[in-house]
Amino acid sequence: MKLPSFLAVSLMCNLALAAIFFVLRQGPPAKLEAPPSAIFAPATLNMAPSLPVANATPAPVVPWRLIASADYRQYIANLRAVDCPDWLVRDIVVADIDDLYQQKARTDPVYFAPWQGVDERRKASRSRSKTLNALRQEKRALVKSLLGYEWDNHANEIWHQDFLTTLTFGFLSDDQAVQVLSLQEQYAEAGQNIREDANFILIDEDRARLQALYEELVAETSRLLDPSVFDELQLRAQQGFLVANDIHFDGVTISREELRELVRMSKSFKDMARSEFVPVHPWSEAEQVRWRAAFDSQVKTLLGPRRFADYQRAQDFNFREIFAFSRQNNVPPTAAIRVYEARQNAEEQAEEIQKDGNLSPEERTAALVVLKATTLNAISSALGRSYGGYQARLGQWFGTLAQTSEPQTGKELQ
Amino acid sequence: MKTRLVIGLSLALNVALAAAIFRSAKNPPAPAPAPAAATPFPGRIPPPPAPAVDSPPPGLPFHWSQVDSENLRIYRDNLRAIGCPELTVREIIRAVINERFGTQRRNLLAPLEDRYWDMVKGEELIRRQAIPQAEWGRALAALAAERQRLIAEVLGRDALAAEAEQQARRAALELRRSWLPPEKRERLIELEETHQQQLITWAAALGLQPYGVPTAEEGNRLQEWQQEFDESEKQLLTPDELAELQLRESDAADWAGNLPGFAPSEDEWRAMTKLRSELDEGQSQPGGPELTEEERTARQGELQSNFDQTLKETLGPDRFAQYELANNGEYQGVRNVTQRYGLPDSVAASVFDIQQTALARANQVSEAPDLSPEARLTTLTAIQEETERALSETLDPKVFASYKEYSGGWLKDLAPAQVQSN
Repeated sequence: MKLPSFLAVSLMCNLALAAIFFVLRQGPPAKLEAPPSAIFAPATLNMAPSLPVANATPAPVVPWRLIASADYRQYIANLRAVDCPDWLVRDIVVADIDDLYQQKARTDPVYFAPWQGVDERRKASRSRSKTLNALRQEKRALVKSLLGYEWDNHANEIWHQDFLTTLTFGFLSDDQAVQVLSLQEQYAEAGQNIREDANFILIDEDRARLQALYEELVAETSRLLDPSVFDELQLRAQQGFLVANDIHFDGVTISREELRELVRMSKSFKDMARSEFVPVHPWSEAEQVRWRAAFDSQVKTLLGPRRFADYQRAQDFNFREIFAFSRQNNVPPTAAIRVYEARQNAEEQAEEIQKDGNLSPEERTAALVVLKATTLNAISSALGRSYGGYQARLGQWFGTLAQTSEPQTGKELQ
Repeated sequence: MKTRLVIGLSLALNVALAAAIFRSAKNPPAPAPAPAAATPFPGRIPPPPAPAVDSPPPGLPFHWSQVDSENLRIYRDNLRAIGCPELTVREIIRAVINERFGTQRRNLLAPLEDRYWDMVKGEELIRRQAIPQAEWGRALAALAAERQRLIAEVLGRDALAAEAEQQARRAALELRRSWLPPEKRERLIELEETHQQQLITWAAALGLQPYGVPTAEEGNRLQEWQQEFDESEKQLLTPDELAELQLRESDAADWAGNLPGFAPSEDEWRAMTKLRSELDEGQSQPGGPELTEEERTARQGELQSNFDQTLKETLGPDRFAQYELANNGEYQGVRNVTQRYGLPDSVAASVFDIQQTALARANQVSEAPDLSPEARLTTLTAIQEETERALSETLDPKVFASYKEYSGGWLKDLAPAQVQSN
């Protein structure tokens, strides 16, 4: 090739290479102008670390930095534009916001000189807590402003991990469940702040604030759900009343609807969710007796006298014990009831025999031996082949039945 | 000649441009900065969402399905390949796993949902520990374990979180050691981390031994490492710095942070921490092995009494009295209430005095041999009423109500309903 021709080719190459270089230096297409209310992510978002590239699959052509944006609204729009599923868009953006606020929360940690006293430390800790709370509130507001609803990845994790939560909130959709849990977490935190500010000594003003907060939580939750769904949520929150008050239903025929009704009416005695939020003054023993009587009276109206008697029987540990045994050993419930009644009768009779001052020691012993034999006979006939198992596991009370003691005098009994 | 020169320059320019293009392709430039008007994080809750501004960059020649894959490893690698930050990769994969497992979980839970109120009736939900034994619990546990396994398999150890955690720990340690010069602080942390790593290795090796008993060689190695560490620490720090480090990080150092109502000065803290360290050391080795249990207890009592005496001399009688008061749990209970109402500590001290007086009187009455149960109860009830009056006057009725709720349990016990005869 002659020199001028070679020069021409080289100069063309210069131009071509310069053009390529220029295009590459331009980088990705310029982003849209941020809107006035733009919400920004940290600068790190756009800086993808150099990571090992998979050999197995061809790399797609568009780098992440075209999708990611420092403006969260733009980020969401970009993800949607490439057809990233909505639930994933949400999780990506919320995780990013979580990370951002975690970084912010790490700044200015509290440090105490070892000679700083409790009061000073507490003051500094509360001040730090306030800062962190403000950050959390800001984060939640940001998430809500972007998604239009509450969403907390921690609540989402609980929803996926905790079986009891899963079961209790199982009637809600995934999104509803996480939104309700997010709200609860948010308000529980606000309540805890009030308690901590008060150093857990709650005065009337604190209780009033907690009360207002609880009302707000209820109102917000009710806005999220249909009335019937909200009603079910409240009932499920209230069912802890049964456990808290040692209420049982072994051997009681009660429909789901009746049980729900019973739980509903228990709310007027103690609203479980509210009292967890706003601690109430503890009841005196007399008050407890009064409310229990009032509650039982309502249960009687709900169940009717016959089933109320069953309900009362279920509150006796001795009955629950034999009832559980009968279930484990495939003994019919009627047999469990017979055993329970035999035991009750025997114990009542034994007490009468013990108290009977007209009996001589020998007569008392003889009467108790007869009582014991009759009782064991009745129990054996009720339980059949399971009698041996019952005797070994739950039959300790047989021994006390025939034990004699000196009868009490009339004076002592008063 | 000129043509040759121009050709040479042109060729050189070609080479330079090719190199620049190559570098440019390897390190793409940062995107254009956000508009100046949009200051990141104005430090307040952002305003409500603006009307739809969500227009994507024009002409994204990409569809999510290009990275999406049923195979999570491929999904992960695709994301990495397009430069998705690792934190986001983890979150996307976790979210996808959650979504996939969510469906399975729903299927498992659907039949249970109908039985929810039966389960309440049967008390199946109150025994949390029994849930994993229930059939549905086992199925959910298996699913949760599978989810965890998949997360670990696809994403491995969360190095980013571990790194962030370590950085936070380091930052806290550096803050605590801020009294040391920065280079020594840094070096000391490095020494400690190395030593910690040695201990971890040693403990791991020990786990491989039968019954976890170290061999003599392993014992010696541990000792050597400890000596090496102590030696390095001595070389790094001056004797004063080392003494300060030991004082600040001793077990006895935290007492001021656990004693409401007593704020020591720095000098008081130093003096008391030294004394407390000596007391702790003495009490842990109160004499030789030849001492009987009684002798050991007597020796410990003696050490405590010496400590109190020296402390009294060090603090002076007034400060010592304050210190003793702050150490009393009953006083702390009263003080919590008075603090809540913003009352001075003198009020808490007065209430505490009233309490001590009442308890002493009630004790005398309870132990008086010549009182009938009725007379005893009458006297105790009178003491109780008198004490309540005195407390109500000292605190005012509103504060007194709070006091009774949070710290006044002893008032009820002053006159128990049943009084026994002696």
